[in-house]
Amino acid sequence: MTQLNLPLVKDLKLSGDTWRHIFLLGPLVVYLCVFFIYPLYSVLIQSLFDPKFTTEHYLEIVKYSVYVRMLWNALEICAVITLMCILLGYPIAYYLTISESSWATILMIAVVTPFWMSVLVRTYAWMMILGRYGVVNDFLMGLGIIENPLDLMFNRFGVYVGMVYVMFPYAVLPMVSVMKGIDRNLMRAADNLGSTPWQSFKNVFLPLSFPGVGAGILLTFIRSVGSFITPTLMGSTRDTMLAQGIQSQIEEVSNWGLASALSVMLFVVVIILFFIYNRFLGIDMLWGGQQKNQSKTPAKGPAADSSQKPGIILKIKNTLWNEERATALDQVIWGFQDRVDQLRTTLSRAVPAFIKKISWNIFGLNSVCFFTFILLVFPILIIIPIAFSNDMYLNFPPKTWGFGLFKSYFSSTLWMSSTKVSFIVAFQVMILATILGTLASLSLVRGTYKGKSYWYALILSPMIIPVIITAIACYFFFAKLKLIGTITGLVLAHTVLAVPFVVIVMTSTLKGFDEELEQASMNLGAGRIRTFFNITFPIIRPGIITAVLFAFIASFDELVGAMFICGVRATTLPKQMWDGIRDEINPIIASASALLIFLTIFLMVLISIMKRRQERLYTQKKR
Amino acid sequence: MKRNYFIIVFLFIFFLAGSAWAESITICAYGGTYNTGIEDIFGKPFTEATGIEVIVTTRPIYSKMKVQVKSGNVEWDIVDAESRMYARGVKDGIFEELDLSMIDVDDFQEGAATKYGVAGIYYSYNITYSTEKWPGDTGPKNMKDYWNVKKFPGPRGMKLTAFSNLEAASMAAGIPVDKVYPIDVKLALKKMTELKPHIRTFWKTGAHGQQLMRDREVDLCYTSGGRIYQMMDQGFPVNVIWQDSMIILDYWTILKGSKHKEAAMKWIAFASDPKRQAAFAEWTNYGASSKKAYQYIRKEKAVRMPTYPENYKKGVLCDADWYAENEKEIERAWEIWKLK
Repeated sequence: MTQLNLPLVKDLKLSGDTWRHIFLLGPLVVYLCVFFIYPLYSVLIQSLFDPKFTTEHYLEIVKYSVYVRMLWNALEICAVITLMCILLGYPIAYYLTISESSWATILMIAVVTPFWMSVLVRTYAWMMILGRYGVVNDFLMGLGIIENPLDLMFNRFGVYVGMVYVMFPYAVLPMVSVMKGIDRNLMRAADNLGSTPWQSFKNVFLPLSFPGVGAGILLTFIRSVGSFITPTLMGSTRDTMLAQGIQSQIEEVSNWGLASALSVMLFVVVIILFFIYNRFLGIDMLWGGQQKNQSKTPAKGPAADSSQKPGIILKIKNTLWNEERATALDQVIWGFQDRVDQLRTTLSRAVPAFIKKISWNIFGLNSVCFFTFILLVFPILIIIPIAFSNDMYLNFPPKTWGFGLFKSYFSSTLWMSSTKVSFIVAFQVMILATILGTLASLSLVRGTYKGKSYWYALILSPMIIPVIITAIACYFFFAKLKLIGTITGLVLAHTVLAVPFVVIVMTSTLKGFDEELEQASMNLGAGRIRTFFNITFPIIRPGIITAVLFAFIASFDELVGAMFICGVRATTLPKQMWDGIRDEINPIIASASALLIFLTIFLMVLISIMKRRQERLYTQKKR
Repeated sequence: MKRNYFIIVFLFIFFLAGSAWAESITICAYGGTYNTGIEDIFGKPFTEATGIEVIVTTRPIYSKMKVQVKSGNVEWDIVDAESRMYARGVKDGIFEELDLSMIDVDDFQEGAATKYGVAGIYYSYNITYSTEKWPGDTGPKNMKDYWNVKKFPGPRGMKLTAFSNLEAASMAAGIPVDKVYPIDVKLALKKMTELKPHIRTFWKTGAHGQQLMRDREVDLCYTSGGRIYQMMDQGFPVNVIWQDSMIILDYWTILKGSKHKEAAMKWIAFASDPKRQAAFAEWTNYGASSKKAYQYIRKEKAVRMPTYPENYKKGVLCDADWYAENEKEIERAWEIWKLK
């Protein structure tokens, strides 16, 4: 057999095993290279060749500080947003991890729904709430607390609120993922050794959850850095972010060269952030960082421990400080904490017994979660009433009630055809993305070759790279292929964006799957394919259904790519709503939004049922 | 999988069938009630008369038009190009030459029927304000008043582009309407900086400006007069004045490489008929470009139009060529100003 000289697979002998992995991982990798990497590359080309080689666009960026300022705005604003998301999100993630009640499911739905809620729905709702004569101002003025309406919109505050609202799940979900993998026996051990609940949380749980916090920070920050729709609708011109600059270069000025150069700049910044993150925490943490189930590989004892990366504080300390300084710092920190603990013990003696009996920790946790829950649900509570009104314009509270808007929606050819297109595209994406993603996940989870994290990074990169860059890239490429304005074009682009979700779900599903079952089946005489269909598939089916649903939602709600690729005969529902906001601001948008919300909630409930079933099907408990 | 194939095949046949039976042209305009007007007044009668289907869609975006022409895959046969887009398009050569023998060129106002475009309407940006705050005659009367935040305190709304802001600022600085162009961009931006703290937000489309006024997010807005007139008709307390307004032409153009060039030309000729222009003008509250159309427009509507002589002389006629020549510098200066 000839040797393939690819650097990443040089350790593989070309056995049947290798070919199997190539067939599993190959299709997705090839797909991404054609429909994602190559288009990105052509953006780079566009920035440097217009059509002859020129550095004028990059020089322009350097010469006029405007663009750098936009980048700086983006970094500044996103840092604040990330901080707020983490602070609000940590209690929620903790609650979701430890709670067994059905409140947890409801809270989970409330967390994830804004994520899937069309960006326009969300913005409408916040405009109703934060507007000059919106809900908040009406309330405060009605109570006489303020005289003139507060400026809550069209400024940084508006941007913060709107963006925290949509980025929240990016912060919470990785944290939940990691927290669920923390062995609760450790906490019990700490209790046994005499620490208070707070101490065992602070000293045991908190450090172990840092990888999740790190993943949450990375995802949130990078996703928000690339966003432009919310800042455009809810912010002021002073806070223009880089992605908005890119979009306006395309729409207003049609300067593709400069837009491409700015995209390259954004891309580079994102990659740098990603590498910084990888240096400290490792990409594995991105998809949950669940260590391989300990009881599954008992012989690997110490090795299993080393697969968990040390906490981030330790890593920073190791890099910046030497041994002595580190020890000295340690002593100072622990000494300080001891003092604080002593103080608390002294103070607590002064507190009456019955107050001590109340679990303040749980009370605090529950109130924070409840408060956040209200914030998450509030916009939905605004949109739904508007959808059931008969008003001609957006009003809150609505002046008339009825199903008029729904009737208009269902009788309008424009809205109905865009809904149809959305469904058609989403169905195809769901199938294509799930097939490509599941095959790749099989290879990534089961394979034992080096360089896995690079493949992971490639596959997950559409989720990391700001959507606008992907959208422009696809636009260039598809225009050449005459795919703009076609359903096929939409399907191809959406698949690129949906595959990361599928892979994340499927890898975590497959990680929990016990391979010994497959081996037993093959021992008993079944071939590979039969084993797959009779053993593997039924067990991972709930996971596959979850992946399918995620892919569906990812495509159905997608807006930025649609903005570029849609055409007269193929317009999706979100694009229709976006046009609607700009051209008409018809409250039909509210009823379309309400329907989207219902659909999303329905699908999320389905997903959570599937997850429960999946967990029951694993032959080994996770805790 | 089977179901998907079925849907795909069905759609394919459907589209094939559709295109086999009837030719169709696609018109790209600005959406909402504007498009409804095009459909009802021009589109449906045209289809009845010629059998050619008319599809109306939204938002001409210049970069998309360029890509369509360059790739040869023209989706928008007719584009409703506003003056600056028109000037750029002529410069970049993306429009087809029109067969002007099909229309009555003399009937058109000056500059409205050219080699590459036939004007459909004249629209305007006007100073509009809330009559709740300033009832009767107490509202602002011109741009200087608009800038006078002591006499007329309250949040303002302006367009997000340099276009209309530079003119407004020039007029506020005292330049009379007929001497606005060429604009001293530095001076205009300096004047804009004065007003900036009072500009609550920037509107992107006519509908957006309308919504801002409706939600009372702003008390004054320099936005499309026609839309605000519509609001007045619905009973909202707003008013529109004509002093220091901007008058802009919208041209019907055909994109180069369109596969339905003759049908598109027929449509443009159809739409240039005086009676139909009059109907469209009344619907949109904008001005017709055909002189004969005014015979058919009611007086109470005519006084609202940019082309009504009284109004026309109080406003600035947009100079698209100046924009086309200086676009890079203007855009750059504007981007820098926005971030301050």
